[in-house]
Amino acid sequence: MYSAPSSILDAGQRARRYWYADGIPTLVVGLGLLMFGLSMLSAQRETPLHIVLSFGALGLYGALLLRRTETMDWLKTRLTYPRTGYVAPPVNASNTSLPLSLGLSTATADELRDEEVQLVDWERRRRMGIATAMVLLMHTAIMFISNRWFFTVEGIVIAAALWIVRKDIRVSPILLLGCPCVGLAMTLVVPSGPDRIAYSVVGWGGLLILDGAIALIRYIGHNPAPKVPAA
Amino acid sequence: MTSDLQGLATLDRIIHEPARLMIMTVLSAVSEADFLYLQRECGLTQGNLSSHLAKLEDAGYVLIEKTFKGKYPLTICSLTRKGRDSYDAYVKTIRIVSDASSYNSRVPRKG
Repeated sequence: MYSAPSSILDAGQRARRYWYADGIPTLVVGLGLLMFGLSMLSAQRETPLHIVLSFGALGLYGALLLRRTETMDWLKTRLTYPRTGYVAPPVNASNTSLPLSLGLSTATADELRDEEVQLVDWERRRRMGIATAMVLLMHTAIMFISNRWFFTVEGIVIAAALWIVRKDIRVSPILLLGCPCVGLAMTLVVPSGPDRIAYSVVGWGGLLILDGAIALIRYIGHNPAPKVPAA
Repeated sequence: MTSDLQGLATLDRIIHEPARLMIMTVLSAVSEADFLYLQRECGLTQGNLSSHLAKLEDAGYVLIEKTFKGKYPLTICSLTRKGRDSYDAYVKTIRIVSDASSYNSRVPRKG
């Protein structure tokens, strides 16, 4: 019976993509990764200054990790909502906006639509699960594989993981092309040794920041701030 | 089939209007959205959207709350339980008619 997602589901997908459209989530995650990588790099230097820097970076990373949604919301309140409006974040959306998909259906809910929504929701979860597993596998493997070319393999696999989830989150050509490039750059530049994982994290963080910043600049350019506040 | 066809007469006319159907479709997919987001998604003017939202609010389908996020004023809209049930019923009726129409279109025609 199921043929293609209905417009109802397209609206949900557009709302999910809207959350990522301004580049702020990418920017925040990239900043967190950069802080974590820098704290790892500083910690290995063992001088008092580097230890202080390490703790500072780690504190910033922890704050970003714990207050990720609040940080994004704070930035979006100032940059996104006045320009293009507010919609509930995807986490809330998946919990409450599509109640049928989580078995909270009302007595009058259409069984067919329930089935359809569940199928699309399951497909989305499957895509996200596969991509997350690919990224985690690479990050775990890099701890045990010291071959420099593994960075390039990691870049290609992460690009493939991003390609899989391109329907669900904003995946720009910068990220898709940037991942193998960052991997290759790390293969050629990063010295082998205990620092290589920290350099890897810094590299990925830097790429995300670049992508998020470009997306944000383009977003602000395309959507000038309104002179009169919205109704 | 006859009863399904006659079911068209019972379609909710508040939802059936194209602009209101767009609003209900967008709101059915998210837990809440503000006025500006709805305006951009539906491509309606401010006045048009206001009047349609007012009709949906009067019918008890949409809940409208005026609030602030920082200094930015938000008019947050969300579907009520009644609105969601009515929308589900509307979509169900339309789907039945749509399925019947696609069956009819496969029937061989003379000439």
